[in-house]
Amino acid sequence: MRSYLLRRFALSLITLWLVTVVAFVLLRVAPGDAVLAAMAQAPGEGTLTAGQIEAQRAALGLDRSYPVQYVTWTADLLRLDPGASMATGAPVWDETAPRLAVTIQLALLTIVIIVLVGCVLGVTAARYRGSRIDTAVRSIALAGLSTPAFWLGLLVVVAVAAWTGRFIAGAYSPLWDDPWRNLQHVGPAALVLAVRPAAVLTRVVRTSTAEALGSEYARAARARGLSESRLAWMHAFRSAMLPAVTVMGAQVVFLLGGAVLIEQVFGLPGIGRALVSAVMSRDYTMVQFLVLVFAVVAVVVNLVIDLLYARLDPRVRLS
Amino acid sequence: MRTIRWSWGAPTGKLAAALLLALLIMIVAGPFIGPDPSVHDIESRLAGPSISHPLGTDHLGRDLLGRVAGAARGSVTVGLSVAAISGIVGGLLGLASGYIGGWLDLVLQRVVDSLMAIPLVVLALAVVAAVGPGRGGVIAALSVAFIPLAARVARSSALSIRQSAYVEAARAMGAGDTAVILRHVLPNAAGPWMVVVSAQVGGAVLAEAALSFLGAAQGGGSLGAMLGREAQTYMYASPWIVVWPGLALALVALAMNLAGDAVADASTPGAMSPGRG
Repeated sequence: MRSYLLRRFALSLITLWLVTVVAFVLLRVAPGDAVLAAMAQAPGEGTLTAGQIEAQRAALGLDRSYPVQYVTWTADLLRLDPGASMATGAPVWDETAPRLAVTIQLALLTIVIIVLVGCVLGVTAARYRGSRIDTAVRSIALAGLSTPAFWLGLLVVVAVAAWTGRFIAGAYSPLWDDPWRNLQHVGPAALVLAVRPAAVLTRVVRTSTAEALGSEYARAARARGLSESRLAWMHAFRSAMLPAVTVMGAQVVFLLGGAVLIEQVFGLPGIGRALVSAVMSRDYTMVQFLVLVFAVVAVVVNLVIDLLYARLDPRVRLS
Repeated sequence: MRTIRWSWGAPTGKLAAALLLALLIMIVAGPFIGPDPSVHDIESRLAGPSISHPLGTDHLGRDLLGRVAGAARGSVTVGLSVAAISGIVGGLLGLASGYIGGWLDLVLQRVVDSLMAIPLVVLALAVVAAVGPGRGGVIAALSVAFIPLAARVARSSALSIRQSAYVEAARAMGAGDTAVILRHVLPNAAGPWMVVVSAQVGGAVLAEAALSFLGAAQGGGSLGAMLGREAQTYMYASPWIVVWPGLALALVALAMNLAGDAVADASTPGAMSPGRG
């Protein structure tokens, strides 16, 4: 187990290091930079002379060679200093930390909804497989799988505004200031964000639970007089856990991407919105750091899931 | 071909085919369906569905049916380009990685891992930040973001084919690398690759919608762009302007998911019996 753990951990570190390379290279290969983007965004303030552009580039460190820029950036990162925003000049970390809290709250709430809905619907459909309940669950799951979350979010925002006259997109209040108002914003966002991953989980749980219910040991258990519901929930569901845990890894990565859109729709000040505005202003330091933050969360979640998997399935850690 | 015939047998296969056909008609005949969307009928702006405007009008009085048909065309064009580019580049990388193996495989696998660790929308946005907004930028961004999947599938096929008994037999009869690749690896890896690449079209259409929605595809007409900031300003006055483009997107995705299910059912023996899926 320990060697498996170590190997998995080392691979995660290599992945993250490569993410820094990818994030850095991606932003340097193309023409244009933060100075030019700022100029294009504020055309009223007059055009800068070539000398002024050079001076601003030098101030941002953009005049140095790429390897030097990369090494400086990663060395600062290792000292936990992601630098200053190229657009606002404020320290990147100060701009990110409060926003990260918003996104983490949204993600955790969404994951709880996904797991609850996915497991309950999946096992229920498997328990009554072939019946109307099963058909209904499968149709709902297919519809959920095909609905773009940000569009669903827009419809929810419009519907709430039309029926109650309240605009839930905007006027966000932090969790600790007013938890109830906070939940009124984050709750609907989490529900919408959960739809697709919950549909995926439902399908996986249904298929593998149904498979287990058709197995030899399930027949043996029925012969011993076990009720179908007890069999589905206590036994078959346990064997459905492995595939369920596996898909959750990919779904969490998907959810993080979806959060970028949902934050935009519901006006939540998370790191997704920060990323969108950083991209539009070509704020390299900000984009690089946020890409890395997303990757760190994704890698850590997948690491945890792999470890969970190894705990659930002895074959993994022994091989 | 056999997979297609089997897929047709499943009810989901027929529904998928019907949806895809409807979509195709809308895209090909788009310009001839409904009133001309370039006409600004200011008198009846932000109107609901009516006889003259079957789906209603937008804030400039343009016909929504015509706009949705045109935008669907743009979306599918991007989806097809992205699937083709990422499929070919990723496929070649995966084949090389799986067939040659060794250091190349190790390095490529780690790069694919790191690309997959970044959420798709985030990765694509980072590429947009580099290349700049616009349709070209979006296609480039999504192609990069979709490469890992195609690469992964092609690699695993190449790996299993390389170790198969028939390749061993061909080698024993003196076949070189070129012959093995052309006669065995490419034809056998093509099937799974095609399934993944065609499934990517739907994914790419949705991802393009996401990027355009966030404002990355400036000027380009697509379903996602129709849901952008302008639509969000006017959606309270007339929800129809966000209902239709999104519904069209959902139908594209549904058609792709149904087709994917039908193909999966058809290629898993015994899966056609009720109670599976």
